[in-house]
Formats: sequence, structure tokens, C-alpha cells
Amino acid sequence: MTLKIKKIHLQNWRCYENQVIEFDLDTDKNIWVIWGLNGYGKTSILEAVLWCLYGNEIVLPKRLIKAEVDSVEQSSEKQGYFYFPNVKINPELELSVSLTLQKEDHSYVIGRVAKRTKRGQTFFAEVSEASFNLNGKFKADSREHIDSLLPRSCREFFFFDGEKIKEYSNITQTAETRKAIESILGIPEIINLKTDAKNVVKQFEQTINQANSSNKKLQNINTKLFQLTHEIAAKRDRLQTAIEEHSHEIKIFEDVRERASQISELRDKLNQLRKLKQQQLELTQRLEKAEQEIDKVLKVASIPMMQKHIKEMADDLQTKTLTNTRMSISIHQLRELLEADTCICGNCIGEKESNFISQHLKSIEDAGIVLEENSRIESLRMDLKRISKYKIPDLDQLLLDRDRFVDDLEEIKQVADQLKKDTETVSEKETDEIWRKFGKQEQAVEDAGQTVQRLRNEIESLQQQQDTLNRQRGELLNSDREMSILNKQSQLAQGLYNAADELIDWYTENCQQTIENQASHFHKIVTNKPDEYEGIVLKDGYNLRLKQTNGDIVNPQSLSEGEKQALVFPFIAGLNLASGKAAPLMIDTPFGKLDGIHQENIVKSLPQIPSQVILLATDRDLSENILNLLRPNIVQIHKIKRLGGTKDGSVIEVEQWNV
Amino acid sequence: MERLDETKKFAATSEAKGYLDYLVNKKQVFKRAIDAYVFAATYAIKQNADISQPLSSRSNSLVEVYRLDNDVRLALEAGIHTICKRNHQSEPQNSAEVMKLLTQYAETGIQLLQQKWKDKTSASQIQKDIWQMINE
Repeated sequence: MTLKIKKIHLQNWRCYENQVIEFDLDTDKNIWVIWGLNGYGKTSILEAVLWCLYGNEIVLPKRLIKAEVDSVEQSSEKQGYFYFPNVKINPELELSVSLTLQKEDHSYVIGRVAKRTKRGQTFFAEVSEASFNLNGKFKADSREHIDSLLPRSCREFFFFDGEKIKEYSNITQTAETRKAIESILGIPEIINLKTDAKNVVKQFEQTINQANSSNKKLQNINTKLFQLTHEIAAKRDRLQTAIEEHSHEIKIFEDVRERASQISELRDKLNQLRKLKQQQLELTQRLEKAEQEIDKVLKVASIPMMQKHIKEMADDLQTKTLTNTRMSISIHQLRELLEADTCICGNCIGEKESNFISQHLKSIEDAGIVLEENSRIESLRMDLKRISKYKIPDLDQLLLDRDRFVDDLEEIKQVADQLKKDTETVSEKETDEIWRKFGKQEQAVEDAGQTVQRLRNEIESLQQQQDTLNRQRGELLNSDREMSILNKQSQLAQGLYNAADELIDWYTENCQQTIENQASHFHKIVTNKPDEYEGIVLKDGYNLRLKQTNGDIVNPQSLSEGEKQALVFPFIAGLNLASGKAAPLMIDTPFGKLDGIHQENIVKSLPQIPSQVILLATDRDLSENILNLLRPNIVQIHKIKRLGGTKDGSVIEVEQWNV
Repeated sequence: MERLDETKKFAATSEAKGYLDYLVNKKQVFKRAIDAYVFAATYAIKQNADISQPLSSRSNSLVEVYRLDNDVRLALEAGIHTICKRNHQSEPQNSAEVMKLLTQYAETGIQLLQQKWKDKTSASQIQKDIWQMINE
């Protein structure tokens, strides 16, 4: 059931004058390469395919035309889509793109034409509606047919630019894409079945009502049944809305919870930071104190170093004090001798000698030198004695303490800097706000869940009433054979309607499960962390999530760019397998900015994708190593070459090579 | 014992001042230049260093004597007198002579310390060495 591109025909499209690209489909391999340097026209091919399928949604008519003929000398005016060398010869040039697709025995040819037309002095592009041929037969409503083959809302999944692939992990979250995915999965067809069954039930009801308008009791039951049916339908609509609201509230709740969890972690870090700052302050104070103590020791370091000198000086001064004391005593004794009546030696001192001694003693006493000097020396000696016993604090210990404080402070600073960096995105205000939101949203989810449950209960109760009334009506109708048949048919139609309803739920769930399983399988091949992830899960419809081996669900938003990119291939592969109608995959610059490991992993997974894969690549995308890995699965390499000389264009040739 | 005149200022040669600034501002071993200056003088006295070398350049004023701790000043004065006596030199006869000798020892001490600490890269290493010098 694989849909493949068989041929692309470009006429006067951008740099291609008349180019046919044929894809050899007689093969089991699934990869084709269109190779060309930048500016040679790779992206033009992707654009041509998309324009052929979806027209103005891809390129607006005014972009097709640009103003290239108004002043032909300027190269910037070659930005139009018409093949420029031919525009110069024929201003009313026509361009066309034709696409031949194949699915099993069916061949589809889709074509689109645009023509330059002059109105007044200005050229416009007249773009035709696409033509659609199935097995050579023209089909009207080309849009509808194209949409059934390759839904426009899903085109990003089949024709995409590898440079932008990381954005695709978010695409699945739009309602439009959700509908498109369901369309690929075939869910609308079951919905149609349900609608058809509902219409049939309605028709039977009308017939029965007309036939029994005379039967008052039956009429009464029919009226009640009619009312009940409408009430149930209305409740079902409300239930659907309530389920969507519930899912929406859950999604918001999960986002809030995720942010709250991040903030909670950050809040712990903020507390840690606060404690560290306190420790930092205390340590700084202790460090300052230690520095002051060290300074005190250094200021008085001379005292312990001079201890021997101080003692020596003190001893010296003591000798001087003793000499002075002795001198003082001698003066005193001489005074007493002079004043005594008798001399101890028996010879009295003569008057002359006595006057001489008295005169000198008086001059010494008047000067007070001996006593004063003695007192000063004694005071100095006492001070020296005191400082000779000076006990200096343990500088070694102080230095050790100081160095430890410095180390501790540095360590704290590093941790604090990291915490500061981690927490700079969070504010106290946001912390309070997020927890308020968390509580509010938790309540909103619970309320929405209760509404869903209440509506389900009400529908169940109404259905029970409906069953009872149907039984009663059946009994009344069974009395009439024709009515009995009509009634049975009506009940069968009702049963079909109920079955279709259940089928939608079952099928959707089943498809999601298949996408999850297949996508997880491919993701294991593509990811560079296969041990960390259990696989891909779809939440609330088709929102992509990654499940870690520890059971945590990760939102792609929090993944690295490479990991985001590595999610898309598995999802597309899963979608193709679940739909059972794999669409071709055309990828421009296939590996975007992926690292080497992801590139190799994707290359390994490409042959397993159940689709035709067309890679539009340069040598930057396909290095020798990557090309060698791919080679066994490549069917053809189409090489884009530039035309030399005055020809401003490109041609594509199939490279001859041996696999 | 002759004492220093409290009103006079200590002074250092430009070379010595340069190293004092290095110890105070760059290495932050001492908080004040005067503390490093008197430590150098103490070290030279303790080593009984040769102070006969003439001072090489004009001196730079540091601070007044009274800014020095009294006990430290006393210890230095005792050191000056004792070292003169030990070396059988005449002891200083006035405060000017005490200041002159102290300056000579400080200048010599600074040169010795500069040599001794040339391989020490951090304040902590120098301060640990001071502790060893105190305990020698």
C-alpha cells in the first residue's frame, strides 16, 4: 500500500527548462538521492512537488511572477519562478509541474500550470486548478482527490526541510494536524459510517411515525423517544466538548506541574543559597577576626624576638640602679658623719674639710640627679622585665585558621555562584504564583473530570430510558408485521450507530498504540541514548512525549535540539505503519544540524521506514562515510548539474554507479 | 638607656620603601609599612647584621615614633643598646643616635628579608616564616 513518486516533470520551473526526473520503482530498496551543490536547484524540486499538489498555499501567484522583466539587467529580479532565459524570449511563458504517483496498480497523474499574462503594463501569473488523473481517467474535484492521497495539513510530515525538523515535535499539538493525522489513519471514514447510520435511524423513525400517527400511545412513546434521542445527542455533543476541555485542562495542569516541579527544585536551591550566604557572612567575620589577630601578632613580633636583648638590658639597668643606690647611701652616711659629734676613727674632721664635703653634698642633693635617675632607670627596668615575659599568641594556629577560612569561603563562593546561576530565572513572585496556579489547575482538572463523568452517567441513564421505551414500542409494533420489520430495521440501524461510536474509540486507541509501538521501535534505533528512553508515547491525542526508563514522561520542549530532531523520523515511520498507506518522504537537507551519531542512526533507520525516501542533499549532508552506509539501500542517485555558458539553468542526470 | 624622640619620624630609603610597599600593598603580609620596617630592624639586630654599608638614596618619611606600640619601641631601644654593648661599641648618647642606628638596622634588615623571601610567593608563606623567625 505504499504510495510512490514515479516521475516529476518540470517545465520552465525556476532553473529547469524542461526536466523529467524518473524514479526507477522496480526495486525492493527505498532510497533515492537527488544530489546537488547549494544553489543548484534542490529546494526548487521540493517546492515544485508541493506547488503541484497544493498550489497557492505553497507559492502565491505574485511570488511566481516577481518583476523580473521590468528591468532585466538586475540579477535580483530573477527571483520569479518562470525559467528566466525563456521569459526573455517569450514574456507570456507558461510553466508546469506534473507529478506521477503510483500505488499498487493505480497510477495517479497530478499536474498544474501557470501562465504569465500581461494586463496593462504589468505581468500576472494565472495559476490553474490542479488536474487529477486516475489510471488515465480525468477526475473532477482534484483537491479532494489530492487530499485523500496526501492531506495538505500533513504535508510537513512527508515533504520537509531537515533544517526545520526540530520544530516538528510541536506540530502534532495543533488541532488542524490532529484532524489530518486522523484523516491519514482513516478515522473520518468511520465517523461517516456513524453519521450514515444516524441518518438511517432518523429515516426509519420518520416512516414509523407517519405509519403510526393514529396510534396515540405509540405516538406518545415516539415523541418521548424523539426527545430522548435529541437529548442524548445533545449530551453527547456536550460530552465531547467536556472531554476536550478535560484534556485541555490536563495539558495545562501538566505544564504547570512541570514548571512547579522545576521551581520547587529551584526553590530548594534558593534556600540552599540563602544558607550559604549566611555561612559566607559568618566565615567572612571569622576571617576578618583572624586577620586582625595575625596583624596584632605581627605588630608586636619585635618583642619576643628581642627577648634576650631585653633581659640583658634589664640586668644592665639593675646594675646601674644598684650603683646609684649605693651612691645615695654613701651621701646619707657622709651627712650623718658630718653631723656627728665624734668620728668613728677617733680623729675629728677639721672645719675646712667639713665645709668642703658639705658644700659638695649640698650641690649633689640640690640637683636631685641621683634620685631622679634612679627612679627613671627603675621604671624602665620594670617595663623591660614586664615585656621580657611577654607571651605571644600562636601565630601558626592563627595562620592555619585563616587559610582554612579562605579555602572554605572559596568553596562556598563556587557553590553559591553555581546556585545563583541556576536560580537566576526564578523569582519569589513566580514561585508563589505557580503554586497558586497549580492548586487552581488541579481543581479545574477535577471539575472537568467530574463534568465528563456526570455527562456519561446522564447519557447512560437516558440510554436506559431509551431502551425501555424502545422495548415498549417494539411490543406495540410487533402486533403489526410491517411495523415489526421496520422496528427491527430501525433497531439494527441504531445498533450500527452505537457500534460505530464504539469503533471510533477503539480504532483511535488502537492506531495510537500502533504509532507508539512503531515509533518507539524506530526511536531506539535513532536516539543516541537508547538506554535512557523506553520509547515514544502519545498524550492527549497525538502530542509527542518521550518515556524514560524510570517511567518519567518528558516533554520534547526540554530535549536538546538533536533529540528533538531524532523524534520526528520515528513518529513519521510510526504514522505510516499505523495508517497502512505509507506516503513518500521527501527530505531537503536531511540531517539538518544533527551530530554524527544521530546522522548515522537515522541512516541506519531509513531502510526500515516503509516509505519511498527521496533525499535532496549536498556533500555536506552526505559525507563519504554516510553515503557508504546508505549505498546498499540507494536505488538511484540523480545529480544536478549547472549548464555552462550563457544558459542560466540546471539539468538532472542519473549517475551511473555500481552498488 | 637613651630613648627615641616620640615626635620624630621614621624614614626609609627609596629601595626599602619599595619593598615595604610590596609587603604591605601587594602581598598584604603587614597592614602598615612601619610594622614591616621595625620587624626588619628587629631581624637585623637579632642577626647582629653588619650595618656599616652607607645608605644609598634619599629617605622617605614613614610615620611618627609615637604611632609605634610603646612596648615594641622599648624592645627596639633595648635591642639597639644591647647590640652596641655586645659589639663593644659606644652606646647611643641621645635619641638622634638611637634613631640613626635603628634606621641603619631597618635598612639592612629589609635587604636581608628581601633576599630571604624572594622565593616566597604568598603572604601565607612569608607569615609562616615570620613565625619561625620569632621562635628561632
